[in-house]
Amino acid sequence: MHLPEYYEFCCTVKTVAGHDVLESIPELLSKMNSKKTMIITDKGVELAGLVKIVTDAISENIEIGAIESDVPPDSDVRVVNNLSKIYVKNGCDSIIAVGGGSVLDTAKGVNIIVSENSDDLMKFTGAGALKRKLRPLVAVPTTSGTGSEVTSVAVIADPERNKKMAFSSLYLLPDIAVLDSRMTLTLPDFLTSQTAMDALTHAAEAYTCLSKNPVSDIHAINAIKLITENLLNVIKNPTDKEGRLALATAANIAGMSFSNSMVGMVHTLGHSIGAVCHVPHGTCMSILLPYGLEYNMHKTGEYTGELLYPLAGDKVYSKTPKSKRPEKAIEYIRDLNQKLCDATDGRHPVCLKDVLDRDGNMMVPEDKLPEIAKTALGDGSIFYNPEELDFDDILKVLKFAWSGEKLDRSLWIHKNSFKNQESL
Amino acid sequence: MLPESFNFMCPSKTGSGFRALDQLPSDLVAINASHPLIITDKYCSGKYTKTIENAFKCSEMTLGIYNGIKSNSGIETVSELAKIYNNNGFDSIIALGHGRIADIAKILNIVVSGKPDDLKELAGVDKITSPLKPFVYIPVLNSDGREATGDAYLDDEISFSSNFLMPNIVCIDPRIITEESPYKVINSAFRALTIASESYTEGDNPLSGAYEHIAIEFVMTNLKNVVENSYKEKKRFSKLNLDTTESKERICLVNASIMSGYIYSNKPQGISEKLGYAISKKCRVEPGIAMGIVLPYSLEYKANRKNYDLEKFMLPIAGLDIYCSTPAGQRFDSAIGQIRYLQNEFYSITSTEVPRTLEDAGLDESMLSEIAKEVACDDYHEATCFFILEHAFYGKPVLP
Ligand SMILES: [Fe+2]
Repeated sequence: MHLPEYYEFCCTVKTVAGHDVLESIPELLSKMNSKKTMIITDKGVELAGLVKIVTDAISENIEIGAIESDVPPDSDVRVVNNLSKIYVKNGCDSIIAVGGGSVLDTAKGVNIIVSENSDDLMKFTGAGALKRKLRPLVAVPTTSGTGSEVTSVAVIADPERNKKMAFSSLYLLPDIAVLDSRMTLTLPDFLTSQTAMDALTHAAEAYTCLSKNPVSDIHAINAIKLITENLLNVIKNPTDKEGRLALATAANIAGMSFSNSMVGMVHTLGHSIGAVCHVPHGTCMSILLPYGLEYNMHKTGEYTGELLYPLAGDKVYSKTPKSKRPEKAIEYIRDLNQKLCDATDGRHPVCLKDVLDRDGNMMVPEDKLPEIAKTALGDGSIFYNPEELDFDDILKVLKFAWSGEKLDRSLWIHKNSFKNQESL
Repeated sequence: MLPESFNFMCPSKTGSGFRALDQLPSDLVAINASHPLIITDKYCSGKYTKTIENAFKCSEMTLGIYNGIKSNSGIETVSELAKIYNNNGFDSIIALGHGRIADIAKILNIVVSGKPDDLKELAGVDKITSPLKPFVYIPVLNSDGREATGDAYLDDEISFSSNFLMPNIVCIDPRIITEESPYKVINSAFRALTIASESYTEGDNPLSGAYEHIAIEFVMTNLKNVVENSYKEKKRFSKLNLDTTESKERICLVNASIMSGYIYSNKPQGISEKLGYAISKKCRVEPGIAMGIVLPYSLEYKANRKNYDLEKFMLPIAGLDIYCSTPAGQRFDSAIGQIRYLQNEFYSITSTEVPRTLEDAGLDESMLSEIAKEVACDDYHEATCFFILEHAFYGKPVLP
């Protein structure tokens, strides 16, 4: 096992998982001395009937002071301020966030304001600004991908100042993450596959990028195994409770894995495609992951090769010679993407040119690639990638990902020191 | 397949490796602590406080040091420490060392975080309901992991158990993880191996799986080298050996112990663990060593009688490559074989100081039924406990 000279690991979130664990929320909250809670969610989650499942499960045993579903797709400081007022006015003393990343970010923002008794979120941006525990916060994720229920960051937009405020503190970690299979049972197939591939990418990048450590490594292996063993089944059989719980758990441990080890170029490029062309994050991840692993192979091929075990199982792993494992692992990821594409009637695209919007228009026209590459150079995650990337490198990689062709690694052979080339 | 429901929590931040202590001042600031009181004993303060003071030199913090902990320290020490803590405006506690030191530090934390008279009322399980003062734990090589749990023992009558007692930060620094007697190291490592293995084979909790896996793998790959090196060191009369490989191996063992503490705080005790404690009360053997003796037999019992698929146990025991290349039907036996191999090696390396069987340990055979009676529970009836003990007494594998 790889042991770095120094490593840190921290996830203070208590995770509770199962098929009927929403019911345990009142007891968990009362242990934290909470008597009246506020549910923060969004319209989509409410319309899907998920809020009702939560309230039915808890309302007998804890008072619900407010249910607010006014969260926009990108969390917004005005909404945060508004919800904070409602929290105070209704005498709430804890929050249950039911939803995805933006709901949780909003809830984290509200929790800062009500705990610090301040009306200016700006004061708490940046690392180290929070110095003590906030009020109780329970996260109930409704997708199985981002792992944001175990991450210590929040991004909240300030439209008036045209700024995005970034918050980072261990105190932003929710106290409790509740993974209940009922919350993802109705997630449509293409969202299930996208979000699961986001989680798989968190794990694969955590395992192969620069800040890997023993805990992030094993969480990553276990997350990938849960995903490859369950994802296709769940797509074909959406009401598979066990499979749903496995995917939710995989996203959770993949979240713990990458939040303690950082991600690399797949996220760098993915963020940029999202910013320039508004392609959903999970779609970018599933398309780019094979390319990220190929690009870094001369540096981290050994680690990529070890991923063959959770991707393909022990038999394939032991039958494949060590030198062939990295390529085989990548082949398995491509193959999984193709199967997901087939199972969702093409709504899980395998290359950028196939990503279409609702009206069937191409979302990533080829002439946008230079702009994407330029944006990528400014993304923080680029520093954690094992191999350096300049504008030309990124553009070349993007072109392959656009057409869906395998990366031609020989294009880089003259530039980078392929010192491990022979051994791979 | 996943269990119907499962959970896990670990409130501690773990920092491990090169110059870990240097991170401590800023980590303390992040949890609003600026004036920590270090609690330790004479032995550790003589050996390590210079290193810790140096790590804090660049910060503006002033440290207090109390080095009066003894193996029999009790409520008087807690009261004395509470006075020191309150009169000098300390705002956080650092425990440096193992066992008793951490117990006293945790109990002090209860006292200085609330009303001292509460102590008796807060005894028992989950009686503490809100966070205590910032608490840091700095382990040494023979820390057995109990220090990182939510348990604290004051005396035979009063003990505490609450997640709020777990450290906020565990700081594992190779400069503190120095030479220790092989017997003590094996004792701590076998305790970690037992807790992690029993948890790993008790169902598939993917949330604790990483900690279990790492604790098992770290003990299996590093313990033998650390033990052998400690004999070599004695011959060389070297006081402090910070050679990278050797210090990495020690760091791995302490990681394993600390992780076993995290696992322990999330699970009921396993049968080998319980038997180990009971055995150690009846003969001159430390609990961790006794657990290690019982472990292979109780796992074999589990594999045979409970129809668990324990083949996967070989993965953390032997590592990915060996696991995958071993045919499926051989994996569990081979994993158990590796534990036994290690135990037999230690018997010879330590010139029989570390026993392989309960008979080696000097346990009177007539005690077996008494121990079985004492430990029996719903999952493991008296007859079952006796069955496992009897096999561990003679070193006789439990056949399918
Ligand atoms: Fe992601």
